[in-house]
Amino acid sequence: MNPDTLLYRMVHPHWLHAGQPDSRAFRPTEKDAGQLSVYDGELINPQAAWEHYTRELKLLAAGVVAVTVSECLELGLAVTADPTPYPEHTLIDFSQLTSPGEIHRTARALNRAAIDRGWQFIPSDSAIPRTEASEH
Amino acid sequence: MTTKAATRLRPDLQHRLAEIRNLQPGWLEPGNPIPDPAGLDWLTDQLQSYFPEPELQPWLTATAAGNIALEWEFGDHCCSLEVNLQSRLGYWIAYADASPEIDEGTRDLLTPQNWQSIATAVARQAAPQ
Repeated sequence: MNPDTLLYRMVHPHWLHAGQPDSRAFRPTEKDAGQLSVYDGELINPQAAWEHYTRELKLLAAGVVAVTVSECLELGLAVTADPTPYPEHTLIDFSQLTSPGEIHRTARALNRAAIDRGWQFIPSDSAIPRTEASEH
Repeated sequence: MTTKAATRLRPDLQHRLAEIRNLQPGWLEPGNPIPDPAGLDWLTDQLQSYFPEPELQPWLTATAAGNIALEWEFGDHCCSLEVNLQSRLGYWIAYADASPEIDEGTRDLLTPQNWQSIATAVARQAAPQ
């Protein structure tokens, strides 16, 4: 990975608001223990990542957004490869943030960066309005 | 099962509440719970009581833990209240992007004064700076 590497994040259909991802898409859940799972864009493209997530892991995603490694680092979030579950698996580390408020603010900043970059992949049956879809 | 009509909430929030009520266990990942229906009734009542003005009503999102997050954004000002529908405790967060300060902490949502305080804080964030 390098600073410009795209990190693909899956967006659950419930975490859409007006056709854009809600910042909750970038907040680790309790199960995540402060580690947000993403796909390493050097190793996989967004459509293949979505197919892996929905078909292999059998989880739901309305679309794929992305942030870069440098955007994470600028917010104080370390990025590490974690290829144990699957080769492209990468973690954005929120564990150094000490309060829910800091996590909220940081996730919101990442989400804004992802929204500015635009959707990286939207499946044909997604709930995301096509007008919100940007071609990449 | 009967549910209370959310007649004073914005139509998009009424639709959102219906979506949340239709979530199934494991909706996000295996094992994660759905929001408690009776808790949603209670939360709807609170929203109607303390946020009668449509422009001050929050966006609602279910969380992986079965809680409901209330979110407000007014330009670079942001407020959030994550409500535990079982304990009726909420975690309040408010900040402005331009400031390093974050107002946050647990609120007992069985206390009307705390809801009033939250509504006042939201209105203050919404006011032109």
